[in-house]
Amino acid sequence: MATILVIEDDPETASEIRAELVRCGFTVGCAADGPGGLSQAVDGRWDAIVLDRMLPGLDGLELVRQLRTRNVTVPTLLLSALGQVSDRITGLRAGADDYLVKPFALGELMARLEVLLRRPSGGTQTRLHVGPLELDLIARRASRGGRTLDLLAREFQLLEYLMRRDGMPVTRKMLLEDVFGYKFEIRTNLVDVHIGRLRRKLDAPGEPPLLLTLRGEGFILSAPQ
Amino acid sequence: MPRYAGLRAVELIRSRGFRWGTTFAAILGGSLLAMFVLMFWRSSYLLFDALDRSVTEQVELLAARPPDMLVFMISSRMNHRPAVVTQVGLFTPDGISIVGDVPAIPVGLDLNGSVQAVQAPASPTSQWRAAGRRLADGRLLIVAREADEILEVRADLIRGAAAGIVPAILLSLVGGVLVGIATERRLRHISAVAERVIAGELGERLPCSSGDDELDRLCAIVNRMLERFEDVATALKGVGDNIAHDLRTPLTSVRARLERSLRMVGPGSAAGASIAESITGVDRALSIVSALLRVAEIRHARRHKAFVPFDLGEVLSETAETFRPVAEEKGLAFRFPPPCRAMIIGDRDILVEAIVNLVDNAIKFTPPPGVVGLYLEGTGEHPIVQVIDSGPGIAPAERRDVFRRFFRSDASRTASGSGLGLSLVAEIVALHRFSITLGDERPGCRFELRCWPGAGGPDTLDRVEARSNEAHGPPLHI
Repeated sequence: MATILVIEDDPETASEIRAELVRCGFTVGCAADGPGGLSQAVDGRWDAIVLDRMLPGLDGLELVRQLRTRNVTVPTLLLSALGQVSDRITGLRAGADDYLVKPFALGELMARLEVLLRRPSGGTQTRLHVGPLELDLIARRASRGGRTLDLLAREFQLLEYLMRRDGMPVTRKMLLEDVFGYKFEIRTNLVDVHIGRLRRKLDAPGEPPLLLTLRGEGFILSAPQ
Repeated sequence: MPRYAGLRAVELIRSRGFRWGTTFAAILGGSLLAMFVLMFWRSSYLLFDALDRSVTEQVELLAARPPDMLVFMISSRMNHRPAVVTQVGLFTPDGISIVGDVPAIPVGLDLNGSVQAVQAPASPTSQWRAAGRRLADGRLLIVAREADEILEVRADLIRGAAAGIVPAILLSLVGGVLVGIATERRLRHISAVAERVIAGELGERLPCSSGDDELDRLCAIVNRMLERFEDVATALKGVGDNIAHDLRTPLTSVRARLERSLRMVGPGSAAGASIAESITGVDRALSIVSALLRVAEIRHARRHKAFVPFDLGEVLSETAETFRPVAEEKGLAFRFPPPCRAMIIGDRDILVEAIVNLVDNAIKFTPPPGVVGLYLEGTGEHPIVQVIDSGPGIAPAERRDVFRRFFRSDASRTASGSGLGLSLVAEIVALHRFSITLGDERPGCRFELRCWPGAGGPDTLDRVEARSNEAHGPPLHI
């Protein structure tokens, strides 16, 4: 199972994350400050690093930057109390792979971590396949087992996002932020409505469902067993 | 009403400078007049006194001479060179001239020996100081002296005073008016700034000129006071933000612990249901905290604006495309006539947030079967985004409050939401110096977002209130 390094100075948050990771079967290492985190991070045994943006001794952003200059490519997830779009962008520019604003649900963290651990095999692909589903990114065409799916632009984007993360839970927040570009709370059931429409197009009557709802967590797209 | 230098006459008259000017003019004029009266009275007294004494002396002198010498003495005086200035005449008891250069007894002269002002008998324009008396032998002796020169000096004095005092009074009046205008202008400038401070622009400061007069000193003191206010206001807002900030970590860990407990007891049990409810409660607290911090973030963004030109029409099209299915799924008609291109300058991300908030809100609170509309109105330079719904509407009394933090009307107590949505919109609108107004659709409500800088002036919320007083409507949502 994967090993995860958690660099977080708040002991309570650190122990919550650690407990959840252990529960999910990960091997977990911990560091409570920047320099300690960096010295552990460079030793190459981690599959992913979860780190706080504000760390004593060495800022989380700077830590990621130093990792990248030393060619350590381990996926990193920055946790931050700063939620502004520009902060998110600086975080990602520094080389972090994802950025999660506090407060967050642990499920959200796990979902994102899982995506990081199984990083989509490159955005250079022009055709995506999940079971009977096929998505042609150039021709903008989607089909299931030869049946062409008539998708609106937004549904196409949703499907592409889900197919790139097949078999992984995807939260509503991830979809809101990454597909719709809304980095704020929405009070209508926006995501569910769009997922519902997409699902009705994906699954014809009698076909096994591909797009499932995970209660309380989000959605998962996977090929039928 | 006539205007002088941008001031109405009535304002000018009421101004302190003008009143000071007129008071000063009155005091100056009064004291000049008193001085002149004293001078006039004193100089004419002295001049007449000298003249009268010489007349009296002559009368006494001649009366004391032997009566038979008088005719000779008077006639020899007449031939005296250089001519003496007093005129003397001797008359028979019935008034016929015997000798002398007084042609006739002046009319109205009382022959008691005292000096009196009379008309000269020969020339009606000339004034005499004259005295007369009846001698022991019955003849009448008159001594007179011309007073024209003194009278002329007196007239000159009056003319001189008029030429001096009247301009002095006028000049001080003009000075008063000028000081009044200057003071009034400064005060106007100051009250304009004060109005802006009242409207919430706590960063405004009163203008201080380089001089060091009372007004400057007052302005400096008021400015220090404003600085203090601003510090306190910022600190107060900061307290809320800090609390929100500090609540995040403990809330997050409480939530995590609850999640773990839920897993341990299993969601089916009674304890599980109660834990699930607690998680929902914590989530609501977290969403309030997030929204509060977002409002603070936007307020602080004022300092580092990243404004770029973008097409408002395109933003609306994207929003409509995203929300039309949500409205339709709920059984609402979604109206969105294809908009024109409308380039505006702003922070695209947060303006999207404002518009999405309004549309999301409208769909959330409109019961089916109803209508939600998104329109782009106005002209190219002045585009207006309208979000219209057929929901329960917002009561006029509550329309101002909906843009304030945490306001939720009675009608919306049961609906979810942090109560911060519209205050967020208000912050975004204020950041861009746009304006937002809230009107009535009977039923439902209409938000109008005017997307050009300065659309609302500094008092956006006051405009909302002013407009909302115009109409009535059922209670509100947010």
